Amino acid sequence: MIAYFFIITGLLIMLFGVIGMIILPGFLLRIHSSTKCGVTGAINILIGFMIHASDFDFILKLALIVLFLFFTAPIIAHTLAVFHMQSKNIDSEEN
Amino acid sequence: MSWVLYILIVLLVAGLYRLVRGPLLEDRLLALNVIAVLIILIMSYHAIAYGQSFYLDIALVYALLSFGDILAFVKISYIPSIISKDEKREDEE
Repeated sequence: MIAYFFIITGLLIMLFGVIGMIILPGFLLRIHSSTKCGVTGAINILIGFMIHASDFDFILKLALIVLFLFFTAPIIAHTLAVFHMQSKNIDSEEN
Repeated sequence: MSWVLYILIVLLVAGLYRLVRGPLLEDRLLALNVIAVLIILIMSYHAIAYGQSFYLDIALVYALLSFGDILAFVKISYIPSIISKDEKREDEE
């Protein structure tokens, strides 16, 4: 029951993130929306899977995936934002 | 519990829209990041549903590879000056 609560919450956050990534105008708005779904939604769904599995092997590997996503998703978002601002500056200097 | 898989596949197909029709390179990389996260979730779902834990190894390796993939793509396309310098040198010569 608790597992389904976590999974449904995570799926709702993923749904809002993907909808925002599709319909929002502008790159920075889209990165704002999709970072939420990358971290919060995926980790909620994986915690739901961890509660649902109740086996030590699964829980250990899922915890590794959670830890890895928790560290790498902000790095990717920050790198893409820096890349966007840098290429925008280059474009405006050339023009 | 198979409705989780259906919802994840629908989200993945919806994310392909931004991957195909992104005006910038950054939009495509962002969609690639979201699609990688969804593929990790689908792998984890298969591991839970079939009770076999080696799908989780595939998910972990896929997470590692997609992280390095996006960073390498940004780092390669960060330096357009390599290509443009060579073109300018050819023009000058």
